[in-house]
Amino acid sequence: MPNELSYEVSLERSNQIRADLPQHPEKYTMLTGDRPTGRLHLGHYFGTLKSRVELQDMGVHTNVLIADYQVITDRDSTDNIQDNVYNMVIDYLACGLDPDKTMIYTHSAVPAANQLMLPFLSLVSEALLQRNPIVKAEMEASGHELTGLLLTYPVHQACDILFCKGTWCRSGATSCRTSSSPAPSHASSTTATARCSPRSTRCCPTLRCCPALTGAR
Amino acid sequence: MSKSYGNAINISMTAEETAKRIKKSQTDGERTITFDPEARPGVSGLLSTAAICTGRSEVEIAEEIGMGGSGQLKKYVTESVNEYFAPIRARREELVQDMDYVKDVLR
Repeated sequence: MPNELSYEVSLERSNQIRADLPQHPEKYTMLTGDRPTGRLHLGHYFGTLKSRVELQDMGVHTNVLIADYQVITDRDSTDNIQDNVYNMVIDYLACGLDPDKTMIYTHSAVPAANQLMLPFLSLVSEALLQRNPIVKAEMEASGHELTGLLLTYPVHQACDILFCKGTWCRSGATSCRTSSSPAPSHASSTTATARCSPRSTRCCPTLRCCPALTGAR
Repeated sequence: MSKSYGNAINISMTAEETAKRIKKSQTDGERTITFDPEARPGVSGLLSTAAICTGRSEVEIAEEIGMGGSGQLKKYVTESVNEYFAPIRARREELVQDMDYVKDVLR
């Protein structure tokens, strides 16, 4: 029996959602976003920006987060963040995102979203955080020791997703559990966070992880 | 291709900057253009870029350029990218002139 967070299961669910989307776009809430570490390029455009606009125009409740606080998890400098944020907004709008239909926001502009970090941190174990393969890979790529912020990055992502009551999030195969690598990721940390909460049935929606929706692998 | 590294074509580039970036991209010594991502990553990457911008297939474009070599391939990629992004870049130009509106979107 495949794990419900496995890539195969997520892919199948993703295909079902893809078929249902044009019929019932209002049922879905999507969160995605970018870290303002530089300019958006063709890979971003064809990989995600174009489909964000399609989902927005279809009538899906779309949210796009410019994750400015997450730049400091692995970068030494914050010099160009403001310029990068403004250019990101310009790119979004030029590509067709409409601020009347899509909520475009930065972490730094919404203190309440970050405040969720505190109760959420009480819901995850240190062991779960330590096991995250993406955190380990990011730490190695940064060349720095593991900071508290990078260690808790998946919880911050859980705040992002659950803050806007997201029902599905774009993810790559590496963000799902696979049969060969049963390791947790930000998606599983988020579902774990949401499920661990005694209040989660009232305040947190069920999160679905959908690799095929954006063609991510 | 990542925004963290400096080897990509940004949406915000001008047509000239795009041409320059494509001109500097790495290809190989073989003259005939073929689509072979394993053995010819540089040439194949350029073909994929042209393909996604034009809606044509990589193989079809490669056959059309054939003996034209990487010079002709790069010229075709540049035209395809610049044509696709021309309206987006034109809207960008207008938005840059209206930074108050851009800042308002984030409020």
